[in-house]
Amino acid sequence: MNALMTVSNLTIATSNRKLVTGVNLQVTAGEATGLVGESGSGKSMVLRSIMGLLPNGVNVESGVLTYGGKTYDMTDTKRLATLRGQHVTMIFQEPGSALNQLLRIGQQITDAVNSKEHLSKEARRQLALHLLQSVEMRNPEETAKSYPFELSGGMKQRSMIAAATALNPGVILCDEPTTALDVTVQARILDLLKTMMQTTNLGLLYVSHDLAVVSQLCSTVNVMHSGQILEEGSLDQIFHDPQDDYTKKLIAATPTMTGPYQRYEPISDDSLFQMNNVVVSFENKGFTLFHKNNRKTVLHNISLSIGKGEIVGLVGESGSGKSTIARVISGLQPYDSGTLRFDNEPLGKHRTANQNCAIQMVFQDPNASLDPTKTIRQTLQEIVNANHIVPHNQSNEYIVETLERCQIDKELLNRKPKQLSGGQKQRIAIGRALALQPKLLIADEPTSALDVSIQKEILDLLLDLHNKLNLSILFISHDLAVVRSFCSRVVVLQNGKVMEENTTEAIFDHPTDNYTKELLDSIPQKIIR
Amino acid sequence: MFQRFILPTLKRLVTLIPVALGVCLLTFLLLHVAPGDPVRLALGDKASAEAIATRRHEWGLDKPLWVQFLDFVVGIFHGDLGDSITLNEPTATAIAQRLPPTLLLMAGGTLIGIVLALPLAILSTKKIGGFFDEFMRVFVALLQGIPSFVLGTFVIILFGLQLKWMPVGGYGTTLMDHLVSIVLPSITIGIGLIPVLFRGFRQAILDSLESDSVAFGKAKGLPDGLLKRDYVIRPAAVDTVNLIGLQLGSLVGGVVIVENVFAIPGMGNLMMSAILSRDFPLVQGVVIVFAALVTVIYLLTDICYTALDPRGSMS
Amino acid sequence: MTGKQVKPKEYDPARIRMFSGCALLLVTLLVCFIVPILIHADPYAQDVANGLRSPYAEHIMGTDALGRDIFARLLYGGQTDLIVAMVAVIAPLILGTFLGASGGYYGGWLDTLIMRIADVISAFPFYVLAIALVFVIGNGMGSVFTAIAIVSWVPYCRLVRAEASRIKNLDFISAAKMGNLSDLRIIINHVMPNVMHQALTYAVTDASANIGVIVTLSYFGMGLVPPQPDWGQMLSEGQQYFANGDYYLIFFPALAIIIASFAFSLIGEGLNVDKETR
Repeated sequence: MNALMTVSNLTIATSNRKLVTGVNLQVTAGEATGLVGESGSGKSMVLRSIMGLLPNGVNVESGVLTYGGKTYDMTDTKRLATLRGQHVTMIFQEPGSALNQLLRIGQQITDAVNSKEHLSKEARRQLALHLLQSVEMRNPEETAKSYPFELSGGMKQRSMIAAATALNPGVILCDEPTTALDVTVQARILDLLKTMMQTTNLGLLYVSHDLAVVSQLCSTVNVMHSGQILEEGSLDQIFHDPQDDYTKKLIAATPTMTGPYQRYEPISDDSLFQMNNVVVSFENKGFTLFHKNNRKTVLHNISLSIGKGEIVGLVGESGSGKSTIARVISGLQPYDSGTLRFDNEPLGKHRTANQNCAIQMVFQDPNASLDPTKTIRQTLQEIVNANHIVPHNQSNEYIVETLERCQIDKELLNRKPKQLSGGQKQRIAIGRALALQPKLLIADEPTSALDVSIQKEILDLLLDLHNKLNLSILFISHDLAVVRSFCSRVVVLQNGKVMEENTTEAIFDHPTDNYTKELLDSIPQKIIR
Repeated sequence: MFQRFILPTLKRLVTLIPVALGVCLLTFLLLHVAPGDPVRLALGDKASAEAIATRRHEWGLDKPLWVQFLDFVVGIFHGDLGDSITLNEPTATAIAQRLPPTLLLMAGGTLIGIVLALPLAILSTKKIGGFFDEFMRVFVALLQGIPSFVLGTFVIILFGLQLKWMPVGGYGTTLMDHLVSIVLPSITIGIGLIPVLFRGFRQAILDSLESDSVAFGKAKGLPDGLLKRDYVIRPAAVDTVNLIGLQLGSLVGGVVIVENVFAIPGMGNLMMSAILSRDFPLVQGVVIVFAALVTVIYLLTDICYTALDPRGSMS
Repeated sequence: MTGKQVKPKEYDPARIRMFSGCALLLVTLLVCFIVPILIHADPYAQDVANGLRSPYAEHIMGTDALGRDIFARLLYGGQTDLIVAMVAVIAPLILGTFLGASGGYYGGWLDTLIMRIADVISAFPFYVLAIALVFVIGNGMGSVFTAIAIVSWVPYCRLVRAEASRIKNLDFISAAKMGNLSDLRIIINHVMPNVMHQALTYAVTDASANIGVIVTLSYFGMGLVPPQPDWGQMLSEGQQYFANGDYYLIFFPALAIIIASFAFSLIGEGLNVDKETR
């Protein structure tokens, strides 16, 4: 196959640092080229440089792009800009912010065409409908008249693809277009891209941090790390016969849908925590003078139990209520009705200090989970002393000890969060929870904001603590592959209801509920080792 | 129409009720805790005890405080703001005469402010961190520190006394006189508005320039002109509607000062003369009308915002 | 998004702005407080025979109608105006920050109440309420402080409340709650420190605005009153001699006001940079 677009010897730099060095890429018609890397690898910079969208102060130092038999000097942004829209286009991670909030969908998917050939009103409407149909939008008429805020995430992403392809470009640069979407929606968008690729002979340059997603779509994969492409090869070659050490590490760290399950062996029959028929509803925001006070129920009669020393996975998409459950258990969220029991005692609306300590939580965003104005020592000391875990004069040693358990060196104790990496912050957050000697740890998407290699380390740490301390863990995640490798029992949630609950093995091998099946089918799972 | 404009406006009006009551209460208390007995002031030192008692009764000052407040509020809703002590006419009448110059001045000042600040902001965002941008930031900081009466004085010296282009004070009698005489005060107000408006416009343009939607607009292949119009200026304009509204609100305060510097017979001028003559009911009336004016401006801003932004959420 | 890189520049304009602002302020303060001691200036000494003289060797900025030395009055006026402007920042800063943090953190009726009161205050044009308050309370430094405190806490409150209601949903606050820390402790120890930066930045700009308030009030004969020297009052006296072209009477006080406010707003402009680089 002939290359549709090539990039050679691309170097991107700020005034004092090189961000991308000597990158070569090739995009073929009707195929997708993957560009995989962790955060900070420079993968998005590559895409932005092709589009001439580099942020202020970041410039292309050198690089040559060929497209349609012509050669473009990539430092010449003016000339490069002539490619935009008609030949090369780009779609973004957050469709919500990439669409213009003030224009109707119909207008913004056709404005590029209109600016070139001044369509009549009717022609413009027809074009909008045609474009929306081509991205398999369910009701194109209505969508064309909507504003972005009226659409769901998946619909917005489809609209963005429709707008991007309006001028029939040959290449779409995709910057993690499915990362912000739920798994089931992601699967449908990936299918759409695949279909469009085949029917219109589009070439994709697909950037993602997620090897599994890339493996679904791409025929060629480039692995990028700190500004360089370390390895390039066919999908098979990269996954089955990786040459570079970093690629190997990356693949090893990516959770897969094969391999052994966590064995299900309840350590004792005792249940540590029970939740019975819990209902949570929120007041609908807005004006209530003319309307009846309407409430939106987010949890419907949820019952669930966690055994001593058990790791339970709680799985669901956005809006399923999984985080609300975490907040109910941790006492941060009041509930309408239902009962909670912990350690054979009822857990009332007002908990004792001991009950509070016994249930601790690790959060998703490591940047938000530590007070930016306090040093690590201050943060831990405050809660340790407030709860008299150890005598005051021993608190320092205790903190050092606890953090060592989480592989945090005591040198880091005097640092503030902004001087730490994401992985370190998450370890410290785990350490803070452990410092209060909990029996139940709620982990709410603890690895979703982290790179895969760090995700692996955090999961290993949690598993280690679970084994050594007999800690029960409620593990909340949208990522089924992670849950599969980590949990012994799984609860599937949808729209605030429990759809299915069983051992991990049963859920993954013999799902009974339709939603569970859909969820499992949506997982990008080409990776076979 | 109903859903988008009328209902939100009604909602907004409902939330304004407690604020309006609060405004009345504060104004009422302000003048009732003030030292000095308004009756004694009105009648002079030599008035007999009887005369004072009669006047006291006439003005309802012998009633319990809360009844007086109630009367005050009911009066306001009837357009009755009490009688001026010094002007021998109802406060409401005196204010009504002085309202037009103030409104004219506000409109003129805002217009000049926007006309000056917007192009400067657009020029400044052409090259962020460039020479002009940095210069403007310092210049704006300088301008911000100049109180409006100082600015007014400079304007008088420059345009009035040195260049002799315009009259430096008064309001004249014909409409043409009026328009001519508000030019300099409007310029003063407009220049005073530049710092806030410039910063607001600049930030809004910056935000939309850096937004993903501009990046995507470019990726779609939009021509520069269209991109600028629909993807940069338009969102920035919507973002600044609220800012302009808020500024107009606080601008009303500056009008008080400028009117006095240029001797424009508006509400601010009325307020200062009422204060000098310790005319309590008049001060009270002017203060409350000013508050009403600001509240109406905020309300109009909200409606404008709803009209411009399809998300149309009123806060 | 990848590639969120910090770009250290050789020189940072924001820093330059801040340091030149600080330097300007320091010089102004030094001049106002040290020079009078050195030159034994007397702002009250009258010499009517030598009144209204434009600058000459003995009186480098001239004399006013009563023959008082304008330079001396300028320096002593600066002492009052600068001190009042800076001290007047404190009360609204504390009041507004605390109310905003509490309202934002607790939400509910307390928040509604605080914000309604703020709405009421901001329904009055700034100068209208300030002038009315000084009118009611009477002249003097105390009433200037009171008027500024009543009027100026609102922006702090709004600023801090918006931040606090964002911060209260952050995970480190949840973690603090789960660690059995009391609400008051969380507000003081975790919410306030995180909003303080913005409140303090605003306070610097507010000090600049306060200079404007003080001199404007005294220009209209309110607040600080004679014989205490003050820039606003000097300007208003000077304006009577406009027609003669004796601009020196207003030129120097006006310049002083502008320099002092400029110093504060430069510092504010320098501190404010965070907002836009994000």
